[in-house]
Amino acid sequence: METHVDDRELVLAARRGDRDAFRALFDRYHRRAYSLAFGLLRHEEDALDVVQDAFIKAHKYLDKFEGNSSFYTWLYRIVMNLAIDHLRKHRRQKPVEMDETKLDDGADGALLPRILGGNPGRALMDKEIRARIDQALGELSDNHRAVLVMRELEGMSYEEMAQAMDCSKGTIMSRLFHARRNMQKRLLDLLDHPSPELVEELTGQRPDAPSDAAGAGDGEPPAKERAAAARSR
Amino acid sequence: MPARDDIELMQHADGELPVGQRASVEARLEREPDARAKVEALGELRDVVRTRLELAADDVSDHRFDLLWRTVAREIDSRDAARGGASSGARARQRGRDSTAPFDDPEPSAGWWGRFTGWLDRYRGHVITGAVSAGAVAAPSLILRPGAPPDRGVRALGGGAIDVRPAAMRTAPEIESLDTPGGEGTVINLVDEDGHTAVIWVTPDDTVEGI
Repeated sequence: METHVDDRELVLAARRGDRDAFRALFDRYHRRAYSLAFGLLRHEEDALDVVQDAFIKAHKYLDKFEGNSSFYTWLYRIVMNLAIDHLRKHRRQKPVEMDETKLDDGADGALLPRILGGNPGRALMDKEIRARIDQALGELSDNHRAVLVMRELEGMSYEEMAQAMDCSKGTIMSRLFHARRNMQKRLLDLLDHPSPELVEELTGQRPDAPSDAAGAGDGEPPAKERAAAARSR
Repeated sequence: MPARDDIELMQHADGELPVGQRASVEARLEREPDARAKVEALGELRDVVRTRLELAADDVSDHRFDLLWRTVAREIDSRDAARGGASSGARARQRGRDSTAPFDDPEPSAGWWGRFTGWLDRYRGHVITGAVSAGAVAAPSLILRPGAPPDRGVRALGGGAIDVRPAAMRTAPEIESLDTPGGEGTVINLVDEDGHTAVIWVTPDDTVEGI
């Protein structure tokens, strides 16, 4: 299948029974759909099941796809709905950490400034950081993680998220704020207790190197110092 | 600093701030380095979460996704079969157009064998499916190998079709698993009625699966 064929043509061909066309749509979007499902469910097999069911459902209702949005926008709504249904059916819901209706909760609620230095992409190459980010995501409540993933991965608007989660925009805004704050706090904890490998990854210096050399290469202070500075703000 | 102000910063960063509040938030961003840092931190968090989740998809093997597609295709076939003629006609046209179409594979939903291989694909895929597939390839290769006796060989029929008669095997294929530095391989020993043995090496790439 030529790569220049756009989604709309593939959808039309798939409606006519062209399996190659539907396979091409699968090839284009299955990983992205998986990322979304995995972000929401935090479980590989569950996420794969959701992706599988989503493509089956998408094929089944292909005739109902009106083309007002992109195929992926339509698909991700299916993935989202299936994942949210899955969460509801297999409630692993942890208690919500705070009152989601209360926004004005003082200085402790303030967003924390940037913490991972100037290169989060590089930091993510570190297995320990990835593991701790996974842990942090996993520790969020299902609702908080859902809004975070919908917003950060898919760029959904507050209104779209409110529709997907069947709640008000205000609730979405509150959940998103707390989810982000919790993630940032957990990332700060990560920097409070870094392994030597992590310090080296973040600073480019071995932790046993002389302190005046640490971070000298790129102007970034060591991880612990960045964490402390962030906390003191 | 009250969280309400930070909510506004968040709304601004997300492009969700009501028009009437934008001027005051932008003025605040102009005069407060901390506010700018917080907005930057939101962008950083977005990068971290997005990149991490995109990397999560890379943790799943292509083979696993391929199995997933096969399940999707089988399900679609089952539904088409249940719907009857129109879809079957579409599939037939598709087959005629492209012999490499994915559903040119045997359609496992058609019977007990299909259900069995489907189950095998789903749950036992990496080693056993590779071995069974290799065995399936090996059987005709034994027959078609150079020097095979003509009475067990390949004959062109009048209409151009190929008639392949299978050779009887005295014993069931012997399948062994082998650990290698690069992963796991499989050795299959097939003994036909003449005592010939074929050894098939299934490469680790064919057998590795993320389940």
